[in-house]
Amino acid sequence: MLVVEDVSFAYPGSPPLFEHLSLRAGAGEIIAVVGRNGAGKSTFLRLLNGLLRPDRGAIFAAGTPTAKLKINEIAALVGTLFQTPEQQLFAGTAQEEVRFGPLQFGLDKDVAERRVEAALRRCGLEGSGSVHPLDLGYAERRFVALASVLVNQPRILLLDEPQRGLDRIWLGRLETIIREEREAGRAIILVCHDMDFVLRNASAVLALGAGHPRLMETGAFFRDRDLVAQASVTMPARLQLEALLADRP
Amino acid sequence: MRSWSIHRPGSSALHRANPLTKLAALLLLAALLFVLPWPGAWAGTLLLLTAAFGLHIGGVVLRRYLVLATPFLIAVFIFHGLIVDRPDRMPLAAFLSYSQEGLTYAAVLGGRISLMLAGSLLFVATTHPAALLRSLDVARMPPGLSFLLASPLLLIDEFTKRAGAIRDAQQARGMRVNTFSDRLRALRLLTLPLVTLALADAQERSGVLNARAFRAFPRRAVLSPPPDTALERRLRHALVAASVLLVGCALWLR
Repeated sequence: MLVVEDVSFAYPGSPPLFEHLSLRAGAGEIIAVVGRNGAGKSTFLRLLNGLLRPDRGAIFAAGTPTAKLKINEIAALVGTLFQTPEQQLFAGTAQEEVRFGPLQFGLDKDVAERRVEAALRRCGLEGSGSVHPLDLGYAERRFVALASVLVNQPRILLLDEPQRGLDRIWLGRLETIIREEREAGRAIILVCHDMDFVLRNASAVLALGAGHPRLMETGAFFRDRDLVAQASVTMPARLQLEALLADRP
Repeated sequence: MRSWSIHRPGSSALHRANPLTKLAALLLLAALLFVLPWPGAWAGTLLLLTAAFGLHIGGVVLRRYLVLATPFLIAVFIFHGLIVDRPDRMPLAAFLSYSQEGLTYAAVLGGRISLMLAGSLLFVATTHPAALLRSLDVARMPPGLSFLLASPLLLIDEFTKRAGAIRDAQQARGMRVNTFSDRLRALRLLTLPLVTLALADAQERSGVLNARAFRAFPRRAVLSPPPDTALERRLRHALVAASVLLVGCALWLR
């Protein structure tokens, strides 16, 4: 579904963020990209959605090399939820915000409306369609942004810190949506600082800023304490507790 | 993302000068407009733009000058030279006619705006907004007023980032920016959320400033004032006095 082949990237005048980075994300796979602040996690997502282009290497989305596609063409295959919801909402109502994508892709009006309704319902925003996004609470705004991505039904989902600032109910809703998307066969790339969330949801982890990045099965990543420390992330609470209990005489 | 802030760091005399001295020089430039004939205003513009190249900020200043001045100058020359009805109107071609008097007036108006614009760009390019804010505080300006003057410059980078984030979100949701009309549409879609966000942001910033006791005292203490010398202070007084004198003479002799 998503193939990253030998990708290298550096911002002009800065040392390389990635060199010879490769990974494959199949249908229904969830890869968590973790690492310290500034390790290049969000930059990696921008390479995947075409907002940045790699210096070397190639990226294939659903079998198509993204180098040959314009950003709006990549957007049909790759949906991105950015980090800060209020900086990506631009329409007058939540409904218009969600409708933006389908109209860009030239969907029939009735089909677009059905999709908008379904996306808002999935995100728990049935009654908020006519509200200005900035009049909504933080979590609702985040879900308007998520609905705006889901409505396009992209085959690859990029989620940048989707869980940040959500309470238990919204977090539960987010995890349900992620599970449904995985079951629907989407490949999901998740940038995340919350390792409990990673442990619960990701099938594999890509740690940036900890030597040469390589894809590891989630359990194996957290068993490698040195790598976890190098990546500058915390151990999930459950695993910390398990370790404490195991150390007890 | 490329910043729209025009300030470029440097070590030239103009960069090192106290922002208030540069403001006083700008005041003198404004006063000169009262007495300079229009060729002088255009020559002054050329001189300032050339000076910008000498200070290694020529590229950014010239680019901004052209972006800001060109539409205005074209409009002024068309309006006063070709549209406004004057007694000396002469046929030009087909249904078009021109007025020499109108064109001269356009040259006067255009020259004045052009000179002020070039001077202001030179000021903004060599003065960091934070240094301007600090120097206004040193000059015992009310904090609200100095913030009002400097905040638009301080917010340029912030709004550039926001505009970039919105543009990225729109493109990542399939918006095309291939043709000129696509870009115009994108600009329209960008403007409204930027204004809305600016209004929402203003309320939040005002709350933050109040929470930090922004106007608790009529004057603010400045921990790191921009460098200032006795010579510069005298120069500032001379520049202000010369400005007043120039405007006074121009009005007296009118």
